[in-house]
Amino acid sequence: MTLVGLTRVVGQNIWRNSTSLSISAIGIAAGIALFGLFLALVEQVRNVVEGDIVPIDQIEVIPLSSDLQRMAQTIFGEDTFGLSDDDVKTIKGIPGVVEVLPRMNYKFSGVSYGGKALVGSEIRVETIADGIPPQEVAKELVNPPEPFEDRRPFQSNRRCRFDTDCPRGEYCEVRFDGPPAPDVADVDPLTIRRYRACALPVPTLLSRYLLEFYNTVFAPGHGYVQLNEGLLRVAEKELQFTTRLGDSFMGPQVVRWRQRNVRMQITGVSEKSMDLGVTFPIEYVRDWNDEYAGTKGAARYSSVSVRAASKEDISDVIRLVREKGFDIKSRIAEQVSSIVEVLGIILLLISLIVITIAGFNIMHTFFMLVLERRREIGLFRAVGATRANIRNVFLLEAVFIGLLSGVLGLALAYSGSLVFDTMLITQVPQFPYKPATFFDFRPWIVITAIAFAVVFTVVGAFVPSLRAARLDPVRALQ
Amino acid sequence: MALIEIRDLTKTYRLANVVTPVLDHVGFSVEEGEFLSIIGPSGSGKTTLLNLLGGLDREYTGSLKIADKEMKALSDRRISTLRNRTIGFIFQSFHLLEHLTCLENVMLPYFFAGRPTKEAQARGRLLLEKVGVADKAEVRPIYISGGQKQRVAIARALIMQPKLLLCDEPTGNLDRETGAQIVDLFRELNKDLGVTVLVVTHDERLSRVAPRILHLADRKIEDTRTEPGKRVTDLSSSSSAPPAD
Ligand SMILES: Nc1ncnc2c1ncn2[C@@H]1O[C@H](COP(=O)(O)OP(=O)(O)O)[C@@H](O)[C@H]1O
Ligand SMILES: [Mg+2]
Repeated sequence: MTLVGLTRVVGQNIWRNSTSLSISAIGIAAGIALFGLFLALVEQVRNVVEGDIVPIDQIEVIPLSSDLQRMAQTIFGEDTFGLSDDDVKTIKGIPGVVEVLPRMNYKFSGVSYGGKALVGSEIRVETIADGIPPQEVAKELVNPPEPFEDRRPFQSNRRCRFDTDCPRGEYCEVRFDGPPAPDVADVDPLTIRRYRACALPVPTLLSRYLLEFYNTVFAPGHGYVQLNEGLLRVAEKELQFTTRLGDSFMGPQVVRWRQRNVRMQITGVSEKSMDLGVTFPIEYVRDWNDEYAGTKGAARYSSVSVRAASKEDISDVIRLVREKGFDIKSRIAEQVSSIVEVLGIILLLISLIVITIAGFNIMHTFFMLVLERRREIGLFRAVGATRANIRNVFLLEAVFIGLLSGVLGLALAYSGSLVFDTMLITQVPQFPYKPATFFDFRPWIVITAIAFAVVFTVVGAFVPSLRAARLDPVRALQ
Repeated sequence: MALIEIRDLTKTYRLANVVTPVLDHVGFSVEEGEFLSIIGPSGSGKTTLLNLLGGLDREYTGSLKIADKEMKALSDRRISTLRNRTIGFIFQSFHLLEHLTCLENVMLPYFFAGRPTKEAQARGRLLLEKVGVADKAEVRPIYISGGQKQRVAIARALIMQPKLLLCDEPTGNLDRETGAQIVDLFRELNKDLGVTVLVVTHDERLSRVAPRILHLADRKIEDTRTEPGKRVTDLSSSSSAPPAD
């Protein structure tokens, strides 16, 4: 039997039974629509999570925190814990690692306020911050209002009473002599020397995530102006805020009189900055840690940000990092990805159930068709059709219907995604990393969906087509 | 070599507990180009015999050879090819597909032969002309009369140039006059194309035109040969005794 002949017979049959077949095809199409939608949704969520929120090619290496080490930490103090310069070198030497960035956490608290000039009202927030070697980001900042570096060697340190006493760009800050803040709780304030001197503001980096968080959650909630990197650059004069070192919303960490204000200057937005906080040149953090947490010139880093050559390399890098005796900070991307994956699997199961039901519906329809076409099958056999010919007629019909419902299903899925996107864009308020679309119909999704539609239709039609092929021609013709 | 060779052919239907013997050790043979009619009362096994001859039913004992091939020994592929190329079926109820045009119905065996459609169209039109319904080629069978339907079915049976035409009560659904014309057409085809024709009928009057008659009764076959047959249309005017030549 020629393919052309077969196709003609099949085409005529589909045309003739278009009503019952389209009902079954709609079932498959609905299942495929759900299937395609879910795949595209999971794909897009993964894109956003792995691409924007936390790059999947980055990990945060931290010291191995065994119970023994934690015990040592409490006995010998903070300094025995953390990563040394040698550790950083070791990590840098791991194959697949292209970039390492040591980080030092704030080990005390602070309250920051400012932003009135920029967003219209004063923002007060608990400070979350860390420090990184400034030379690692200096080059990537375009036109910073102030270089990202330790500015103290360049400041006048002139004694002052007000900001106006200082040279251009400097401000008048309070300083203390004597022991670090934690040690002066019971000391008479009068015995500690307190004076004012001119200083340059501390260069500060924001993260994209913080900006996104501010724009989507914070600003709309408070009616503040939205910020973007361009605006930040234009408004450089207003990009200063004040941090009160040692203060905290959760109750003061050090005695009130030992707290002091430091002025910060936002110099740019960088991926190397910490996600939900700000990042300073590491020298400041080290000195403030000494002053407000009593760390005595701590040389150790709290963690090292590591970037791998590609996301394929990351699992090898993780393994080698662990082998060298370090630990990995659990990553948001992994947690979100696994949640999305579980959700995706559940949704896929639902769509598979729908498709399976549709497949049974196809089977039922084909059994009906075989019954309806008994005489035709008998006649085909009488004029020379083999059993295989008969089976192929039905299977090819199933392939056509599968293709048709696959395409229909994808069209449904695509229209559904447009409706869903429009609804979410207009009805749901902004949230961090709210994307323009929630669906990514990759070519592999399109191919998989159509293949699934065909496979399920053919599987559904398989038993009926075998029954058609085995039909006794004599009985079929009666 | 005979076209049909039957020896000790026995056919028994077994349905659950019901056993129906239909043919019991029958034997005959048919040469190429013969014109036979098979007669017998209703339920005597005429259709059964035709289904066996056409390879639609291959559950029998004894020997049944068409073109020297034992029917029950053939694979599905080979028997299908035999049905396609060597045998043409004509049914009482025509079995035309109503969603196809008459020409497409005629072309149908070509689909399963794997031969080009162009050729099928040309041959189909020729045959429709031969059986006298050339003007119905593009018409669907629901719009034509019973006699015309049977003519289309005959064209379909002939399109692969078979050696054997098996006709099961081809006039059963037609009025006398139309039926007579159809039987005459068979005679004509037998003469012009040399195709072997087996016509089953319970109408003894129609069978009389055949030079050879197989009588089916009591599970046996009685083989009778008569002098060369008449045109049925000539017979139909005088209904009683067979007229002299
Ligand atoms: N598929 C079948 N199963 C069982 N018995 C059948 C079947 N077909 C025919 N018969 C029986 O076989 C006998 C012959 O039937 P059939 O060949 O149709 O006779 P005819 O065509 O001469 O009227 C009848 O008794 C009939 O009931
Ligand atoms: Mg019969």
